[in-house]
Amino acid sequence: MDYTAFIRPEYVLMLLFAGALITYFAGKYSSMARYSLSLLFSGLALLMVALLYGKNTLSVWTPSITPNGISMYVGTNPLTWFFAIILASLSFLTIMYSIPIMKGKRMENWFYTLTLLLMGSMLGVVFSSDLLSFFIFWEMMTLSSYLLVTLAGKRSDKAALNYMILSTMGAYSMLTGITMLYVHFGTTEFSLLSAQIPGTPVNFLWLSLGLVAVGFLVKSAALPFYVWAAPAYSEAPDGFTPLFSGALSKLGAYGLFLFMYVIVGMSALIGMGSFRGVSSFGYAIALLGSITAFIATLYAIREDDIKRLLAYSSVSQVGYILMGLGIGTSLSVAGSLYHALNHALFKTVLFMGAGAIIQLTGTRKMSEMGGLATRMPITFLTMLISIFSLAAIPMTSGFGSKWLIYEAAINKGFVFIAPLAFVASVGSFLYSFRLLQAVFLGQLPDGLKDAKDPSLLVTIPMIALTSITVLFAIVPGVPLGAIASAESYMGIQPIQVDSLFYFRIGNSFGAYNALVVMTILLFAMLVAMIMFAFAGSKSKKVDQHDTYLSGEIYEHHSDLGLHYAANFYRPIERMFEPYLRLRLERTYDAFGRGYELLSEGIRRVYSGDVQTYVYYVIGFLGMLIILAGWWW
Amino acid sequence: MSITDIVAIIGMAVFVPLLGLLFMGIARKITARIQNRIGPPFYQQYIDVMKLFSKRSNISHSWVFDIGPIFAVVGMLTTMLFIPMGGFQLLSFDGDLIVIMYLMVISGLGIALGAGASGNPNSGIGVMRALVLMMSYELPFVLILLSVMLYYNTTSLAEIVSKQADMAWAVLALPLSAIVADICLQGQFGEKPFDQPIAPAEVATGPMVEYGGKYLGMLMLWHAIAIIVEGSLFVNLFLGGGIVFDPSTYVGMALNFLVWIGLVFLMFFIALLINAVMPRYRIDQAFAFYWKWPTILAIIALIYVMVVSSW
Repeated sequence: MDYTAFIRPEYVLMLLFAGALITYFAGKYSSMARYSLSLLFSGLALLMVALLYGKNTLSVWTPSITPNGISMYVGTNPLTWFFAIILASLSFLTIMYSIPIMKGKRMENWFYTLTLLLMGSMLGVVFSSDLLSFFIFWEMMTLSSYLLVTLAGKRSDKAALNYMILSTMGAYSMLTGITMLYVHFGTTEFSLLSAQIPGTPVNFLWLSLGLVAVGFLVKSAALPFYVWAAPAYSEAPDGFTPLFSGALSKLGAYGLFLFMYVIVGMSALIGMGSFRGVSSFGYAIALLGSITAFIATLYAIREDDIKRLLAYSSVSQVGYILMGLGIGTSLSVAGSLYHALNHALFKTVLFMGAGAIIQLTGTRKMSEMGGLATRMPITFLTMLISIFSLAAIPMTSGFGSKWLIYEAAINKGFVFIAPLAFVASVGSFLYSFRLLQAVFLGQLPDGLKDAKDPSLLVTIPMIALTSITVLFAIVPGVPLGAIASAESYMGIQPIQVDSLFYFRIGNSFGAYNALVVMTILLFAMLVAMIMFAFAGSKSKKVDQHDTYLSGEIYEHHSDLGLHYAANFYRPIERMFEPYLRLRLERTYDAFGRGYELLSEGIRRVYSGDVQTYVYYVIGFLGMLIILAGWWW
Repeated sequence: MSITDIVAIIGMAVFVPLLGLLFMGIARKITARIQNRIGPPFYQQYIDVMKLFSKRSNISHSWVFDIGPIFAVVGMLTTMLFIPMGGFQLLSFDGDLIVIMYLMVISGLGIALGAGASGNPNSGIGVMRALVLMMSYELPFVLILLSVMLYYNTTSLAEIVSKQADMAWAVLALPLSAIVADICLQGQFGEKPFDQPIAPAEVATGPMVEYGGKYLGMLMLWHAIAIIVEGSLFVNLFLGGGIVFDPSTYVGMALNFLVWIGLVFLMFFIALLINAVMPRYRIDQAFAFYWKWPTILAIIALIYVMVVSSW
């Protein structure tokens, strides 16, 4: 039998939606069935997505459901595949990781059903090839992720509601934009739309594209809309956060790629106005991205809550993705897509590790942990490498993408975007070191003396993702090959990678040879280790309390809360605080209160009493008579 | 890559730590003379390193603690090979300024990891100060790098050096940038008023407090390489990489190399003089200082470059 006929995007979606239903009913009776079925369905979907590589399909999903013949299309292309493989593999690995983490938690059965549903709708978003199915899947994704956040119980309600309100706002805005496009062009299919774009009035494009972009900026938690991100990421169940931050936050960027470069297209985008050869619309997105990256970093530096710190870091890294996306040159788009991949790899590991540590210690406060590096070596090493990738250290994959984005920004001479991005990246050393110092280094509290690495189901996904991070550091050409074909699909000049050796990226402006950097690093490591091993005599292991303390007598008080990483960056927090007090949350709160007041006023007017309404009618008639008398 | 390149790389990897130790020895002598002391002989640092490596007792807190000195040396040694040094290009065509900036961080993060693992509060404070100091000087420094990169329209350090040989040295073309870069260099060297991370009187040498024996020996080598790397970065950016004579002849090459050593020492010497007479800023004062005056000057320098290059 020929299986290849079944390797089509619509079957992937059907499999997942059916799988979600089956898992729900099977999971009611047996937890083993729940775990194995959800792993099976997500694994199969991942396999099918992987086999879609290099295919270009487009098929009608539901023939003419409406009288005037709007059909829904699904299809796959290089850009779609790039995002789909990230989403599918992260979903599969997160489900695997959730088995021990979510065991016995509230509404466990729903968790797997909703995760499969979310996976299906996320893949639906990327596979859909017309406006209508795109919007339907988009809303399904928002709804299932909202429900997943609420699974954590009462304390997550407010965070989930914030997320939902902002998402709904974005969705309405997006719907308006989409409707405008449909009314103007009379079609919803992407390729038919993009064929009609040339010659469209510029104002119309600005308005519709701007409205659609609001929806995507909300999802990627960019500057005016980032307020939902930290509470929602941190309050969501530990099993869901890796997927939430690693996969879902990329879809905003995907939507922007789709509408800006696939539908509207580069030439029409430049036609909307340009700034130094970069479209003004793109420049605005890039500017938002860089400011988001900077401000979110400042917030992250202040956090003591491990999940909130990672959440702000997530917001800041998505800012880099938007930056590369907006600049829109060959280098920057490659950097943006590559950073989306890298962020998916490292942030998922970090949230997975954080979840495992939270389960172990029972707290999210970093100042109540410490010294876990020697107790949990696998968690430590995987998280360390991911943090290196987050901080863009050249021995990890994270460097390549940031290098591309900087290079593009400097090449264009963007003197506002480039320094902001760079300082945000230095700030990321600060907060990521705080995480390392507070959780893994420093002194081990008495209560954590017998801490151990989590079970294999947790460590295998972490090790898998980390090894990809290291592998791509040596051969950045492998992901960049897939990215180059996505770029040519979007009509952007594909990035040049040496076809024989996948190591060197660069042009006349600058260069980065990953293989040379890695070789020198490893060689230097060898030299230093030999020097270290053979010089002097062997070192003696001493207790952690056996330290030099300038003559003070050390007494160990684990109950006093004297943690070295508590208020770690107090000296500079003090400098930032006056500025950070101007929080956007306050604006939104004020807006909310005003809205409540207005509604209260309107409620008084509509009292529900028939007599009042009669007065209103009489008053209105009287006004009409007066007006009529005045006119004649 | 030819054999001579490999020989040059290995030769520089051996030579630079020795040169750095010599600079450190001379620095102790100069500081002593300024403070009206006699001071140790200029070769004292060689003796110290040898003594430290042959110590009988070395203590370790855990394997993470051991990572610190190893990463420190690895990071600096790697960075060094991507910076052109006195006419030797080394590997600078395989990694540009941005690669160098991020390679320089490896050693810092390594030391921070090792120091954090020791469980000494002084180490924690020292690391925090080092990271904050880095964030402080990085803002003006990045603006300055940007002005240089835009002026010469390249991000490659080797290109910047060769373009300075054709045009004027950047210190003459962009004097304001050079001044700000020198202020940042003071912080990169960790000399007063920006020696908060080690501040012996406050946090007992901070990250280094738990390290002794061969660990401290490794860290001394790291410091020696770091002086040359940071000084050489400045010399390449603003002083034409020390290329004065025609590099096609052997005599010219040798003279260029000597000029390069002299210029790196000059930059270190300026930092030393300031160090010898200045008190120390508090870390928040250092942060406020860097994000105020040098940043303003750097922005002016950047605007100047944008105006000049648009002509």
